[in-house]
Amino acid sequence: MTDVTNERASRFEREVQAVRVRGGTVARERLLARAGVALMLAGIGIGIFAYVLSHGTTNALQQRDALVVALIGVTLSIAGLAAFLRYSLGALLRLWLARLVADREQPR
Amino acid sequence: MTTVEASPLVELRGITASYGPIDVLHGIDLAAPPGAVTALLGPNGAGKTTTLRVLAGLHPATAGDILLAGRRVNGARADDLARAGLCLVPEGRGVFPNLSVRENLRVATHAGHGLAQVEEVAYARFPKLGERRAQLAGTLSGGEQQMLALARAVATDPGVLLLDELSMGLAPIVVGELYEQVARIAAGGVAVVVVEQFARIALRVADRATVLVGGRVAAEGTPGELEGSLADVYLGGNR
Repeated sequence: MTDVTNERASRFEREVQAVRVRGGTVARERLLARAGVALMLAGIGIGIFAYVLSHGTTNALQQRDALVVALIGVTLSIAGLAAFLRYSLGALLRLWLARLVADREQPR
Repeated sequence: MTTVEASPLVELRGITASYGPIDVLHGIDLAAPPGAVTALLGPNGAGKTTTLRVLAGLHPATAGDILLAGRRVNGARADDLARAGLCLVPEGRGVFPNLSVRENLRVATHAGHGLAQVEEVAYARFPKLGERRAQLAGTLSGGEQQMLALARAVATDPGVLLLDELSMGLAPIVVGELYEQVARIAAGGVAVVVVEQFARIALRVADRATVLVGGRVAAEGTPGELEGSLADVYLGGNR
């Protein structure tokens, strides 16, 4: 290796050492998309449970508790939906981008 | 061409990647040492561009290792890799058509490298760009646009340069000029990876080449070793 090559390679090596690495993203994205679905379902389940809780009593305090539980369910559902869309759409957009590149390479 | 003896600055080991449910790369191995041109060849749809995108951190690998200067960087963000000195010139040049040559070069300015320095480097390498500094990039010829994309890339002082389909839509004489510059860039200590559909063009300057077919490595070697077997590989005789 020449001196120039050596110098540039060692500078690059130093720069790469400073790169932040988060780990494999594909498995993480799949996991988060599944967690999103699970959260959505859990939110719906909690909502139904809150409805039954509220319906089974005439005590206003218990009904207010049920209301709080229902709101937690709704929040979980929205968070789950957001996570699912974010991590499933990421994959879909990549596929769309690949199609775009392929179409450009082979114009019809 | 240089003698390849350095340990690779860029290395892919058993890389697989997919778009949704479709697997497009099946265990790609690639190594690019500094100061050399490594060509990634193959027909349309072989997975060349995806391999570059995986290398640049723009597409996730589902398995395998991406090593830069010996460090595993799977999952690193593309902007972090770019900041470290990994530069991708995408297919289609990626210049801003509504900005002038000078303004396009301004995009490549970074800490410690002002416009004057970037212009000096760019115009020394491509004097034609200096003559057209005030012209809109969209009105340049295809070859000049590619020169601008290369000049902008070099101005960022990359350690690794990834070039996607440099020759696309260009006249052979212009392609020859561009590849001469690529060889000079590599001689400056940069690890250059060139994706090229037209194998013979890239093999003129490449030190080593890997041929992909259907997302798999079909052949690997020096241009001399590959020259005779290229037709077989491209036409499926060596799969």
